[in-house]
Amino acid sequence: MHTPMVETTTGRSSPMTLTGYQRRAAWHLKLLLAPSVLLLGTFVIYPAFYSIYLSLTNEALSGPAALNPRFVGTRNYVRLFSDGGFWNSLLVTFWFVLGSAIIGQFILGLVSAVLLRRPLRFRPLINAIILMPNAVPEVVAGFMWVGMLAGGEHATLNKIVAWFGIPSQNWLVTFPLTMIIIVNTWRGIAFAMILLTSGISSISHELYEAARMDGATPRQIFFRLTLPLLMPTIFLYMLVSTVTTIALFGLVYALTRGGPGGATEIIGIYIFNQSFTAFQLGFGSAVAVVMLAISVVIGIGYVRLLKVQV
Amino acid sequence: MAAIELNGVQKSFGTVDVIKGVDIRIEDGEFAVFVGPSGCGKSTLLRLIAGLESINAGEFLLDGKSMNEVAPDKRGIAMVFQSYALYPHMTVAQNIGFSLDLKKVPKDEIRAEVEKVAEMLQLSELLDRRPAALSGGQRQRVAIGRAIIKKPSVILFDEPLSNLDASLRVQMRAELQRLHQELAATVVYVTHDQIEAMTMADRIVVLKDGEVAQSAAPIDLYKRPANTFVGTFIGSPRMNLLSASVRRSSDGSVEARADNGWVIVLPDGFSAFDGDRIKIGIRPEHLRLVALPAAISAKVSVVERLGVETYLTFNHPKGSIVARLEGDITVKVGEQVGLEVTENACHLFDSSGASIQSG
Ligand SMILES: Nc1ncnc2c1ncn2[C@@H]1O[C@H](COP(=O)(O)OP(=O)(O)OP(=O)(O)O)[C@@H](O)[C@H]1O
Ligand SMILES: [Mg+2]
Repeated sequence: MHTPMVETTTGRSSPMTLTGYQRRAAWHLKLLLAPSVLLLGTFVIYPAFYSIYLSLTNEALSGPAALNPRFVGTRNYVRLFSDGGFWNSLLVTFWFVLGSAIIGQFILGLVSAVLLRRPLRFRPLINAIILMPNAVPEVVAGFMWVGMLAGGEHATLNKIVAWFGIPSQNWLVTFPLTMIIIVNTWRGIAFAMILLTSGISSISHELYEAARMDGATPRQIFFRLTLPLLMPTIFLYMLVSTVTTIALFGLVYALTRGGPGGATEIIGIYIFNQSFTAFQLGFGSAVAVVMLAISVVIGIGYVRLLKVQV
Repeated sequence: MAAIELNGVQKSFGTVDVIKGVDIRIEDGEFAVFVGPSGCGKSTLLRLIAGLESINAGEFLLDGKSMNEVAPDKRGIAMVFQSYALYPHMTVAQNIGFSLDLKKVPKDEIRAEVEKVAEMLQLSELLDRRPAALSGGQRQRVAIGRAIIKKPSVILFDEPLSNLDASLRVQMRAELQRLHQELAATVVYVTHDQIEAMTMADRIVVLKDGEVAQSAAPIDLYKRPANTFVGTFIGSPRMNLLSASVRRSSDGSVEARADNGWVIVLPDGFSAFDGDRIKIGIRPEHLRLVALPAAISAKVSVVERLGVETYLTFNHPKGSIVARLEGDITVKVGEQVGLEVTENACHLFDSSGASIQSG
């Protein structure tokens, strides 16, 4: 029988040359990574570079440029930075990310994670209620909320507020940004809670007992033990939720389509509107490239902070 | 200053009774050691004293005052955990000073206290390090520092040395004894290690299935075990146990015929009836070789030569016997040898295992 092991285990290898075993191990690793690399290459890296290329042309979906796109250099970018709509969408996105991901989902997720660690009577029920929003497809969730927040006396929220004497209104028109922040918070608590729960449960039980022996109050235990030890998890959560919230589209599009008057036109919707409503593919790509750059910078920032933390 | 008294203390988790009515008294300044097999409730008992678990029934008194309802940090008790439980995000100084910091003691006062403790524990050079950058022995000392800065009247240790290697363990053992003397605190110490228990303790409490099997000074435990459990638990190799029947002859002498054929003469005043079933405990070190023919003879099954001493094992269907002999003995496996039991060295137990009379 053929035994490849024999020739590879001779003592001839110097530190510089890989032994047969090491070479084969490296080969295996490459083989195992190949599917991921292939998928990422096809659907992430290639489109990213293609977007950069598109953003330097006047490619459009209709009109003369559609037939014959031209290379226009940085013209799209120059136009972008003097476009009020772009700055508006950046600001809306900033408030949206801050309000829903960084404050809403995080605080409520942390509170749920800390409270649900204790054996509460209705724990399974509360867990289910928190996890449910994540199980609904985002567009379905969006339309569901449209019904709840709609104008007219029969919409759910109007019926509820009528008890307090507040007049009926179309909530998505009167408080558009607040409403999309609330809806996205509702949808994202579960993710924050799951991640933070796993972070909390990795803190040794004995540390809490030691703190009790040292005379720490529950408040001191939270701020001096749980919170600092949770920092790496919190940064990880911030990184993931910031980047995914910046890239959000479907939920808000189903709710408001970016309106009224651009009040909820987060950057994903702005890109969509420019590319597929105004048909300016080149310009839309430029926005997408800028957004990607912002996400990367934020990502690097978090990773840096995370390294300082641990 | 701090005598510990447990009166009928019970603890159960759900339907499982873990501590089943424990009475212990530990005097002020004593070094008490809890030993017992795994799962017998040593840690649970320690945690009841610490206040980390609540007592279901019975009472825990510290200097005569009931502590049942007192919060853990108000009992004047400190605890050193098996895994050390150091706060990983704090420096050594912050770890040691944490309890003072929580009480809002001024920073410079904390610093002074921490430095004093650090000096006592040889940690002065390490005060700004994080626990992750310390060796096992250093972490152990930080954990002790965190306990003694509170000036507790009682310090609890749960298997503090079990994560250390053998030589460090010996060193820490000596250090702990020195500390105990310096601090004059009452110490309760849980261990699996008999040698630790025998060398450090003023009092050993042997626990079995959530009950106290015996509580006594180490040497009393060795010399006068209250039952077969303590007899076999303390001492290494463990005490040999022989089941036997009492035989009274007409001339008044009493002897025991063991099931393995050995005949052992019992002390004159021994009060038992003819035919009573008893258990005889013989420590391996109380057997010695004699020339044949002898009253007891047995065939050697295993010889273990350690140089300084030799262990001989004699297999028998009614129970094997181990003898521990001084020096290097050259007997062969299969050889028939004569044996003699040191005078008055037999421990006698009734059939339930309770001591009848100690030798
Ligand atoms: N929180 C708990 N819930 C339920 N059972 C417990 C709990 N803590 C301990 N027990 C049980 O109580 C018994 C005694 O546990 P304990 O930890 O006191 O044993 P131990 O003597 O310290 O053992 P070891 O030497 O292995 O540390 C065990 O059977 C254990 O399973
Ligand atoms: Mg234990």
